[in-house]
Order: sequence, then structure tokens, then C-alpha cells
Amino acid sequence: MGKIGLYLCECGPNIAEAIDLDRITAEIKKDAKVAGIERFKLLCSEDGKRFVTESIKERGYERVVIAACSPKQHQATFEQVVANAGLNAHVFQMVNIREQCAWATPDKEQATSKALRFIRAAIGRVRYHWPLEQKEIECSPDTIVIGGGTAGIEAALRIAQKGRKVFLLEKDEPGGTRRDREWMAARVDALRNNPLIEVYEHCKIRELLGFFGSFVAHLETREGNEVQLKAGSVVLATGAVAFDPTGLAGYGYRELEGVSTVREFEKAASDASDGHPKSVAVIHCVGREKLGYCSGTCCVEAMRVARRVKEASAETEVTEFYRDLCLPGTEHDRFYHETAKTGVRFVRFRDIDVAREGPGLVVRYRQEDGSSGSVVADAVVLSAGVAAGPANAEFARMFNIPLDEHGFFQSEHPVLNPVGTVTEGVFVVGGCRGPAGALDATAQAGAAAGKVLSALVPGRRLRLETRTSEVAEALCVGCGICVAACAYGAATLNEDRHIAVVNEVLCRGCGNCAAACPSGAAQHRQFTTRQMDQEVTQILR
Amino acid sequence: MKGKRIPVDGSVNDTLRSVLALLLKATDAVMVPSRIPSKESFAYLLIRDPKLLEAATPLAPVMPVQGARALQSMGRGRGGLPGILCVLRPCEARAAIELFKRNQVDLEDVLLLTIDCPGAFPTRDYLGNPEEFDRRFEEILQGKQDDGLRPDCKSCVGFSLQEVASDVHIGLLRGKPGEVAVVHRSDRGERLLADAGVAGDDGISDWEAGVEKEARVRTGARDSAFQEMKGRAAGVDGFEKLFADCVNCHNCMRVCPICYCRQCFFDSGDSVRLRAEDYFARAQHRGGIRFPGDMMQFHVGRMYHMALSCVACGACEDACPMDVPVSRVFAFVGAGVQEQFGYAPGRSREEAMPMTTFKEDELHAFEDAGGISAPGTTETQSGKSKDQDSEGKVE
Amino acid sequence: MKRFQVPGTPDEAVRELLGFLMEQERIRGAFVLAEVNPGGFAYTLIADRQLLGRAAPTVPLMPVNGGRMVSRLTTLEPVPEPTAVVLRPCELRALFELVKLGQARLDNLLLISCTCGGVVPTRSVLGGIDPVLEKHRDALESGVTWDGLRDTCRVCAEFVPKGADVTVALVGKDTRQTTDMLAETEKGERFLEGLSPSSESEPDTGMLERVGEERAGHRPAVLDRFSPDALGISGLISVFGRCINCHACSNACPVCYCNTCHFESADAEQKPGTVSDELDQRGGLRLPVGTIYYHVGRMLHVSLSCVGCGMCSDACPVNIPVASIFTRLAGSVQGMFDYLAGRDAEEKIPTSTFEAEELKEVGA
Repeated sequence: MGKIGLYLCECGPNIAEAIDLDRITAEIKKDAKVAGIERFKLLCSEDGKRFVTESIKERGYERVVIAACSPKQHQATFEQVVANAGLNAHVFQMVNIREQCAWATPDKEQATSKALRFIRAAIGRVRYHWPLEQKEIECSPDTIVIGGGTAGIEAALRIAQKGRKVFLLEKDEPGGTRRDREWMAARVDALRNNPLIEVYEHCKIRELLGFFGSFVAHLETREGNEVQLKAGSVVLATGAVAFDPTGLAGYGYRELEGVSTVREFEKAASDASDGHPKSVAVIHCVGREKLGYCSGTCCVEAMRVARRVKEASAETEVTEFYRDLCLPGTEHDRFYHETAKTGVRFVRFRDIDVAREGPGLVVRYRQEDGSSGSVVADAVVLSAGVAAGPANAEFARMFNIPLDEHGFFQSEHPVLNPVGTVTEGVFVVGGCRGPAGALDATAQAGAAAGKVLSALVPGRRLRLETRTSEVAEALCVGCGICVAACAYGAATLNEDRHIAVVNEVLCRGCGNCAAACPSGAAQHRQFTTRQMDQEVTQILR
Repeated sequence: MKGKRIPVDGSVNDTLRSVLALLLKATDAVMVPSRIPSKESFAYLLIRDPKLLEAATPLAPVMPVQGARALQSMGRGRGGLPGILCVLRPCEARAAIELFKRNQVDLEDVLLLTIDCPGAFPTRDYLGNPEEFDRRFEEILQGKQDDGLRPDCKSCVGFSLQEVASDVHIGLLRGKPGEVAVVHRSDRGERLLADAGVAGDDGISDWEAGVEKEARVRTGARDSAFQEMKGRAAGVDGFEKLFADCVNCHNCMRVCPICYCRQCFFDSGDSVRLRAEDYFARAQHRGGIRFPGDMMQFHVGRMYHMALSCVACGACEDACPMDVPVSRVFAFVGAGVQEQFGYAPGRSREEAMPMTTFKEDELHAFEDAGGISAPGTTETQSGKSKDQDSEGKVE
Repeated sequence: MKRFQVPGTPDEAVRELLGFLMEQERIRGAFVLAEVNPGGFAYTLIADRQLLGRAAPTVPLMPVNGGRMVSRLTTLEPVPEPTAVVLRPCELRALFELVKLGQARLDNLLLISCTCGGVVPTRSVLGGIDPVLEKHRDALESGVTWDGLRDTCRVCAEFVPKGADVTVALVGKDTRQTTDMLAETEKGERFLEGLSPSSESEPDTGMLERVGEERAGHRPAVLDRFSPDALGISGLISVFGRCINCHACSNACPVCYCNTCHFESADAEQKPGTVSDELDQRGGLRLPVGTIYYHVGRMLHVSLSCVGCGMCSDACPVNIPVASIFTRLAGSVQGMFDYLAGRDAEEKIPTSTFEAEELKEVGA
């Protein structure tokens, strides 16, 4: 059933001095399960690699076990070596007798015994390895960007270049929540004038299907036409929405005249031609308890309001009511001090209440030390945080990506993959992934663009993960447990045949489906029942 | 709760049959246990022609086939079933709902009707003397106790409409003459009863009280049964002893309604067709190995696969040729793990199975039990710190 | 053939034989029925000589068909070391059928069988086998069957093994002090050499004929009343009336070798709409669906290889005499082709041969 060759690497003194390789050789020889045992000083050296390739060919090995360092270090190296010898890379099993044996204990006897078990397990297992086919798909190098705000526009502009188109899908018009900023108009122009970017305004996305390299979006244009777009990756930039303070006790929003949100205040201010308010109160942190997190941008936004009021009318009294001032970075700190210099008053509060007083409003507050005070104001501006947009749930379902407890999209990992998601080829940037200032949104979009550009080079064929799972049709009865267990949306139910099917492109080879399937219909190609049975049996002997 | 009280005319089954005849008029078909032509046993019949109701025995003295399995045999949940009213014991209905959650039973147009269950006799005992056991069952329906019922039936606490999402339930008010109470449990059930002219607004608190009383008795019986099983199954030795007579025939798995796999993993080639070399290595290592082997792995593995949905119906033990107390063991373990997840099989169609739900915060009870210490704690069951070697030095 | 006289009762003698073979290193493993826990018997593959003391090959019990187990051991490849297997004649025949079906290999096996006095239904000795041992031994010694045996054992005509290397003589023999072992092949002689004093011997045909006659006498009551003629279709349906479609019979059957039985495969399952159609056409349907279809189908598939071991009846949870029905049918079907299942390991099963002129009696 296939000649097995065992290679023992001395790794210089690392393994040779910590493990009794002679004893291992003698024991394995006694087992009489391998056709040959080869020992070498340093298998990863050029000489070593050449030695393995040549000896496999010479001795006609059909299965290979290499006992050396950690697979993290040299699995790929040796897979290539085995492939160079004309074998399929997957009939090879690597055993870690360095980090997990030689370096795990100073006791040579124990290290050797452990290494022996591991090697026996690998030999048992490799007999049940079969060649696995390396599959490739032709990918589309184009990208779909959903959302035309700060992040979406940045992503589109960065990705669009020769050989790559970008389809930007926007439910209203491009600009997002920062459409009133001075720099946004130029960005939107750049977006519209880019010949490689197709902007679909006022469109509705009906469905988005597919997988990395091959997504298909079905949408309805503003004219009512059905359009199908194909792309290799998707950037979700659907943004966040301002927290709505309606119903929040103590602020009088929508109850008292003169109380408005930042956006409403700015809009009214730009429309108004008559006079300036005598006194403005800006309240920070509106809705913080309800949201459960700090949005990180509203303190600065509130100070911006103060600055604009002061610029328009220096006599207007402006009071900023805050709980904690969130001033990330040196610029914002500077901004704060400059704002204070313009005569804006900063008051720290613990409790606050807005009420009618005559024709105007009064803001009553209590501070940490118990003292209280009040400020009369013509206008009260509520600087509220940022909440997840209502469209997130639908997109999360479409792409099988999780939402956090606040409704924002979750990236795969905050450090290792901050803009990617568990669904390969789908990226989340900007406000839809959590409160983000313009800098954050732009930077994230750039990061996603970088990932897209490097992964989907035009003409590139994508190599798929070979160590994936498969479902045996004859055994599967379509119970759907594997579908529930799959975190990557790779397992789906084919209703007609009443069986589960694994999408080999989306499958990450985690094996959850195989573990969850009671009948063994779902199996992981490199962790089959027989392979694991051998490993466990040999380790426990 | 309100329902329709119907006096028993003839035997309980006569009355149930006439209720069924009315219900059949308001639905496409009825699935009900029926006496086979030779009269010596029962089989499920799917009936549209009312004449076939003559053989129907809605509450049969034995349960040779678990009703959920009969339901499943109609197509593994692939749909297309007409409006069928299934007459089931509560454990069968529960199993059907568990199968529904696994896409193995189609409940879209199918309604479940449960009946108060006094228990069933072991099938082999019944087959030895059908007439005798028929007579005894009649007496049981009159309210008599009978020690010959299946062991699991005697300690079954789900014998009425507790925690089963059926659409219609028929309660039995025992006594001479008795009555039956027909109640709806769902909107669809309500519509069916109304359409069939079997709806009613009678008070049935006497029946409810009776159920509660019986439930207390059964709970006591179950507690003792579980106590006994806990003692017998203690440790690997105890557990092995329970299965000492097992010949690994897998009959228990075959008749279990929850065992839905087309080919059981423990019957698969991966499990039983190993290389002779591997079998030999095992025999050499241990001195000798049994054939068929891996009997304990089969039982523990099957437990792991289905215990969360075990409805303690006793079909397994009924089918065992060696009188191994399979159902009592599985019911005991099943109840234990179901409690850990706050899960009751068959209680609701919408309640997701623990296997396919993820909660980050759960199962803390296991962190402190049996030597596994939670991160940050220092005591294991043996009293030693997880990080200390036997001399008490921290490694 | 060479007859070896081994001291001890049959169980003791077989233990002696296996111990001798292991000690001489003529075998490295022994596949034999053994007492695995007090009162509990199962087939075992023993590699440690010391465990041979548990061997109990002539205990009149067949918890599983031993031939099926040897097939499980050797489906993928032959045993790596010389191994003695101890099987009853029907188990050996089943093994030969499985060899022809590509499901077992005989390489490296020393085949030990016996003239067989039958086994008792497993359920009949749930309380322990000791109460029946004496009765069984007495019946065995006098060469008659007794009413505690499986139905199929009472009528079994193939109680003298064919194709074994060694046969332990049980039927019609006084085995209280010594047991005769007959080396039937050259291989058998080679392995047994030195075991004990031996002499040339002929089988006691007269005694074996009488035994065969007694068994044939039970056929009408046990088998013939289940013949297709006697039953007819309605009788067939009636006798399977209480069947619960559990498939325990096919699971226990040695020659049901399919990985996934056709009658459990997706092909045999109901498609959407079938139930509605049935209700439309017939007004009713028995559930689970396909019981008779399964039995008749299985008859089609196994009757040419059925060895009449009786495992199916033993396994049935509702006491249907499956073995009697199948054995009777198998006898007819095999007879039509002058075939006897498992009489050797080479003769092709009729499904895999083509004769231009045959089955005239079935033709129009």
C-alpha cells in the first residue's frame, strides 16, 4: 500500500543532542512499516533538500514522513521538495520533533519517547494519505464597492486602475455623512470622472451571491432596470448612522424647540440669514449609555460646532458640556486648546437636564463633586454618538459575516486581519465596522484596497486550499448540522438533492463540518477517520 | 385549559377511533397504529379510506415501530406530504419534532396528535401471548397498575402534553365509565378540531389534576431509576458491566428514531473494515480483541450523537436481543446533558438544537467538575493546583 | 486422512491445539469463540498465548456469524501472520462465499472446523448457557438434534465441513476424555504434526448418514411449510406481518456484504409526491414503507449464497422465522443451478456465470 520513507533531521545539534535518534531508528526498523530510514544533518539546507528529492526518486518512495522542526517553519519547504520528486505534496506528513519534543524537555529519555510516538503516528497516518488535487479558478479582478461615503470613495479610487474596474453601488448619492465637508466635493468629482469606476446611484441591491474571485450582484437601478455585475471582491462601506436621541429623557429632543442634533444645527445655521443666537450649549456624549461604547468622534465634532459658532459670531456664548473629553492624537488635543482659547467654556457634568425657560432653554447640570449650576441658552446642540446602520443585518446575512453586539460588522481579527472578514474576498471598512473618523475610514479603505490589489491581480488564477472537506452524497441525508457548524458559509444545502454541498473555494479546511456530522458523510480530506484513528491509536499505545 | 369531553363508548380505543373518523373528514389522511391482519401485532397505517379505520388502534399495547420513524419513512423530510394527522404517543411526537429539526421529517402540512400514554408492553412479551396482554392493557386503561410495562414507561414523565409541541392532544380520564378530553395545542390544531366538529369549551381541570398527580408518581419513579442507573453506571468498570452482554448487533441504533443517518458511522467501512495489519497490531498490543469490536465506542459514540435529543421512548431496549438496559442508560445520560443546556427535545419546533447554537457564555459547570479547572482557578478535584507538580512546586 | 487424538473435551482439545500451534510458532494469531466475560461469549482474535485459555469454540452459541467476522478482518488484505480460525461449517461456507465476492482472503489462514451439532438461539440462554450444556452434549454424542437448537440447525444437512484444513469430530462421538481432530488437507497435516499420536482414518459414513436422516425428518415442520408453494404471496405477507423493517436480519447475515444496503440507500427512499400518489390510488399505505419489497429484494440478492446459518432469525426482534423462509428458498434456488453455497472457495456463484442452456424448468 505504498512504500514509506522516513527522514530524520538532526537539525544540527538541536535534535541530535536532545533526542536519541539511534534508538528511534532501531525501534522504527523493528516495526517494519517503512521501506527506508534516512538521517541527515540539516534537511532544510540546499544539500538536504536535494538529498530528499533525489532519494525519494531513487528509492521509489510513495509516501514520505519527515521528522524535523515545526511545520510552521518548513512544511511548505518540504512540500515543494516532495513535489520536485514527482509526488503529490499531500502524500507527505511532517512531524515536529524539535519544538514539541527536543525543545519541550531537557530529559532526553522523555523527549525520545515522545518523538517515537509522534513518528509512529505519522507513519500510521501517512498510509492513508492520498494525492489531493490542486485546483485553481480564474478570478475577476474587478471590485464591487457598496456605499459611496468617505471609505467607499477612497476604496474605489485606490482600486480602480488599468485592468480593474470598480462598481460603486450607492443607495442615495455619493458623499456619505461628510458630504458637507469642503474636501468631499472634490472627492466625489474624482469618483465620477474616473473612467474605470461605474457609479450606480439610487440603486437597490437585490442579492449578492458567489465567492472570492467570483461574486455576482443583482441590482435594480434608479430607472428600474435589472443589472447583473460580476466582481472578484466586495468592499462593504455602508457607513454608520447618527444616533437618534428621540425619546431620550432629559434632552427634550423633538419636544422642546431649539434642541437639535449637530447635523440639524449646521443645516439650520447655513440656511439662516437672520441673526445669531446669544448663547449656545453643546452637550457631548448623548446616548452613550444606550449605545454602550464611545464613538470616538463626537467630542471633536461638538468642538467643531463651537468653533463655527464662534467664527460666525464671536459674542455668542458657547458652553461645551462633556463627561469625558475624547481627544485621540496630537491634532485633536491641539484643537481642544485652540477652541478653549476662543472663549468657549468647557463644563464637566455628571447629570444634565434641558428644560424650557421663558422663550428659551435652560441647561441644568450637576457635577462630580455634587455642585450644580445652570446655563441659559437659545440653542442646545446634542452631539450624539454613532450607531450601526440598519442595512448591516441584511448584508451580514448575504455574506455570512457576523455582527458584533452593537450591530457593526466584525472583521476577521482586530490585529491580524482588521479589514477582512471570515468570508474571503469581502472587506468591511469605515463606519459600518465601528465608529470611524475620516482618517480611520480612509486608512481602512486603503488597507482593503491593498489587499484587493495584491490578491486579485488581473489574469491571476487563484489556488484554492487543497485540504478541504467534502460530503459523500451517498451518505448525506441533508440534516443541515454541518451547514450550521460552518463559520465560512462554505456548506450549503442543495434542496433538490436533499444533501449538503461544500464549496471548495470558500472552505477553509477547519473540519467543523466533519466533527459535527454524525454519520461521517462529511470528512476532511487530510483528517479522515482512518488517518485520525491511526494517529490516536499510535500516540496512545 | 378547555377542551371537548367525550364519554367513552365501548372501549377507549373504540372512542378514539370514532374521534379519528371525524377528524379524518377534516384532513387528507390519518397515520395511526393499526392491528395487523393476523391480529398478533400492530403496524402504522396511513389511511385515507375511512373503511381502513376499522383496524385502527390509536392507543396500542405495544410500540413495535417508533412513530417518528414511520413518519420519516415517508420521505426524509423532502416535502410533498399531504395534510396528514399523525396519531402518536408523546415520545413519538417529540422524536418527530427532533427529526423535523434535522430535515428528516416534513411537518409543513402534517399535524401531530398525541394521546395520554399509560406505557407499552415489551414487544417480545406481547408477541408471546397477544390476547393476554390485550386484556391487561384494557385494565391499565381502566386505571389498573401493571408491573409488566416497559421499564422506561414506568418512569416516563412526558406521558401527557408536558413539553411536546403537538397540535392536538387527547387526554384520558380514567374510570368507569371514562371520558376522553380533546384539546387543541396550536392554531392549526384548533382549526382542525373546529372543522371536524370536535371542538369544545368544557372545563377539564379534573383531568389536569389527574395528570399532575400521575406526573408526581412518575417523577418519583424516574428519580429512583436514575439513582439506580447512576450507581450501576459509575466509572468505566460500571459502565462496561452494563454492556457486558452486548453482542454489538446495533439493533438499538436501527430502531432509534433519532438515529437518522443513512449509514451509521459505526457501521461504516472506516469503523469496521480496517486493514488486517491494523487489527493484528491491536490484537498483539492487547493480547486479544473482540469481533465485532469497538462495542463501547459504538455506545458512547451513539450517546454523543443523539443523547441531546433522546426522548426515552425505549425502542432501543425493546429491540435488544440481549436484554441490555440500553434505554435506561441513554435516558439517564440524555436527561443529564439536556439539563446542562436547558434543552427539552420535542418541546418546540423553533427551539434550536444545542449542537447548532453557539453561546459564548455557557457550560461553566464543567469547568469546575472532574479535574478540569477553569483558567485562573487553582484547585482541581484532586486538590492539587493545576500548575504544581506533586511536590507542590510551581513549574 | 490423518486422525489426531487429543486428550480432553473438545474445548480443551482445541485450546491445546491452538496453544501448541502458537508455541511452535506455526501461528501468530487464533480467531476463535471465547468467553470474554463470565457467561459472555464473543469471537476474538487472540495473539497472546495466555488468553487461549478463554477459547470456547464448541460452546453451542453463535453470537455473530464467524465467517462474517473473518471477512471483516480480511476485506482489505490478508492477515499478515499465519492465523488459525475456528468456525462452524456454515460459517466456513459463508467465508468461502465472501471470498468469491471479493470480501475476504484466505491467505495465511489455517481453517479449523467441526462436525456440527448446532447452536441454540442466543436469547434462549440469556440467563447463562450452563443449564443447556449437558443436554446439548448428550444430544451431540448420540448424534441427534434436540429441540433447544435453532430451527435451521435442526434441519442442517451440511454439518460436515467442506474445505477445512482440520475438522474436530463432535457429532456422534464420545468426547468426554479425548477428542479426535482430522487433518483433511496436506496443510492440516503439516500444522498438526507433533500435536499428538495420529493414525490414518476414514470418516464414519454410516453414523453421519443416520444423523443426516434424522435432520431431514424435521424439514417438513421447520422448512417446507415456509416454501413459496406453501406460503404463496398472501402467506409471505402474513408471515412478515409483524416485521418492523429494522433490517437486523440483513445486518446479521454473513452474505449481506454491501457497505450500504440498497434498501437503505437514497435510491430506495420515497421521493416527494409518492405518498400522495399511493393514497390516491389505494386509499391507504402501511408504514414504514417497503417491508415486503425489502425482504423479497434481499431474497433475490442472497439466496444463491445463503448458508442457512440462522443468524437472521436470532437477530429478529419480533421473532419472525426469517432463517426458515430464506433457507428453504435458498435450497430451491441453489438446487436449480446444482449449486451449494460455500462448498468450496473457487466454484463461481451462478450470478457470475453464463450458460446458454439452463433454467429450462423456469422457462415457458
